[in-house]
Amino acid sequence: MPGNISIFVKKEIKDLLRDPKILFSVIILPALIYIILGQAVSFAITKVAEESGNVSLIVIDNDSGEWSKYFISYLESIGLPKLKILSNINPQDIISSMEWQNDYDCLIVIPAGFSHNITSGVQAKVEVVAFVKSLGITSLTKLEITNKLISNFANNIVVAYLKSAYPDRDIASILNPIVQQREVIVKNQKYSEAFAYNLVNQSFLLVLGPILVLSIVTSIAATSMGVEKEEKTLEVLLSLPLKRSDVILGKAIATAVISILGAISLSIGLFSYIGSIISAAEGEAQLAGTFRMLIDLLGKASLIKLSVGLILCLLLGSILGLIVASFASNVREAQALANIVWMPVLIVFVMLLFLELDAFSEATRVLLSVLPFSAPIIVLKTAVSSSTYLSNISIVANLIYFVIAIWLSIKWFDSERILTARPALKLKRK
Amino acid sequence: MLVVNNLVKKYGKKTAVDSISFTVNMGEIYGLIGPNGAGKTTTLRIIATLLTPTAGSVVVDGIDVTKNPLEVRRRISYLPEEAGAYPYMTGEEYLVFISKLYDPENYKDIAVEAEELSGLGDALKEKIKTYSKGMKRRLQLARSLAVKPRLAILDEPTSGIDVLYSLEIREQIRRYAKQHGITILLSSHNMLEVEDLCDRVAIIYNGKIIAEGTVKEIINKVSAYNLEEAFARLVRHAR
Repeated sequence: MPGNISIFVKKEIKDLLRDPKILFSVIILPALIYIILGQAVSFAITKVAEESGNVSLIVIDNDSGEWSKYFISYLESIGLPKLKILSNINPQDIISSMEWQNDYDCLIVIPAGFSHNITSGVQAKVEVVAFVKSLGITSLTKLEITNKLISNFANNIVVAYLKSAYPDRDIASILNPIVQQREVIVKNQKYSEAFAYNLVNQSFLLVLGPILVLSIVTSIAATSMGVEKEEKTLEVLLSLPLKRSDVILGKAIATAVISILGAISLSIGLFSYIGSIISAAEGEAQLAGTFRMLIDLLGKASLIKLSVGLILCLLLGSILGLIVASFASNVREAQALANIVWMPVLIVFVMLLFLELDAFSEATRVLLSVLPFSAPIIVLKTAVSSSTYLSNISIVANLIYFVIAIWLSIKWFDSERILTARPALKLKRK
Repeated sequence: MLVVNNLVKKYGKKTAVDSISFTVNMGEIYGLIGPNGAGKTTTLRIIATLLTPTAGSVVVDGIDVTKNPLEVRRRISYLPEEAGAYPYMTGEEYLVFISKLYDPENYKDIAVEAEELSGLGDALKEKIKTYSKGMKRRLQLARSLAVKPRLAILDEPTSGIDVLYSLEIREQIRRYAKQHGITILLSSHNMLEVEDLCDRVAIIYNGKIIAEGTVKEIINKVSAYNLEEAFARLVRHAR
């Protein structure tokens, strides 16, 4: 970097990093909040998993037949912590009793005729009632577990029938006469279906990253400009032996650097969060491995393009943030004005996130690729397709926007209105 | 060093500076005095390349401010009336930052000189957000003079500073102008300060210069006892 701009960039980075608002909200909080959230969610998942085996059941056997006894024996063999067998009772007596509801999670009612129906080849029914004790997201888990127990028993009945009807046949091949061997090809590489799902999910994280970084960059740029106005430092700054382009680029580079630091902090937090959930749910964290493979899959060229696209968008967002914030007289106003930049960016990102580029005509795909701030998402979306040229178009388009933004901002910072500009909404009085 | 020729500045229909002309010689201390809203700050801002003149010209050290503002900025330092400094930098860091921008090679010497000039001592190690208004002003004045510009533009240099330090500052301004050949253009409401410090003075009212000369010449012109009385008579007469 040439002399004065490098002096200015260093000063800006130091100054921004020392601002407790930026240090805490951009660097410390994102990592901290996701790490804490991850631990909390992990704890909750572990608890749910532990509790899921602890379903306590009341079974009312109003059938007392051969198959209802088998069913009860099956439930007893599982080793449920609490299993109450009642017979010849009106289910309503249990349902209307708070005492029963507090002590048990589910009620299974085996009606009269259950065994007869099974032996006659007629569908047998059981009634399952879950007692919901809270309105949490896991409140109906017990119903699911009970459902699984009944399905397993029904499956056992089918296997028993098939075994007696076809003693010489492999029952598994009767139950599943066609076995699928599913594979997914991505960029000429073969992956298992489960792995491909992981890849897709994690590529979503890669798309989410730029959105989060861009939301940070406009806010920091606005703060940087807001401080200049609030602390009355702008007049001195503009009278110093610095080119206007040095002031703008210096602020934009410093803002981008801080945003990248913020993004790293956020990524650490997010990975810790996702890692905690996966560890809790699957017993082992495979996140880093899958992510590494995703990076390999994207390839060097795409990763370079992704970096270039992201940096261009960061600088563009920063410069636009600086321009709109120059209308503010303090930091609070500046941050409110930064949303003017951030909202259209968000719209572009969300739209591109859900659109499948291949579903559009060539002209529309090119049009989508030249949208401002589109470069990182277009690069990611086209990384494994044959439409990689769209990423080149997107990067060139965003480079042009960046140059235009620099030119506009130099003009604006060169004008005297920068010192006095205010957001004006004048309503004419009659 | 500074030639202001038929300078006009209009904000819409309002004329803030109305065809003023004056010249400041090298090493001279020149004062612009006038009531609030007379056009002093606008004139200083145009010379500091922050505002564009509507008409007329301003030449600093042979360079037109509108044609090559960056070259002008390399030769001047500007102290606005309400000048702040970055709150999360220490006073020392701020002076080093400014010194580097003016002279990347000899910035250490400049910064040390600015530190001494500020008289802030150990407080320079503290963050600027902890400074009082007076301390900030001392810091700003120190950076304005220590970089040894060809022209220092000082808008109300002692505003917010106590009497004792104001006296010290006046002495420093005088010393820097003499020792380093720095030309000083200042504006002030403090007539005593102007009388004490300035080689020549221009009284500006409603965007026009209504009197110009040495303090003695202005006082004699209206047969006043001091500059304050001369100023009051001239302004009343111009209404």
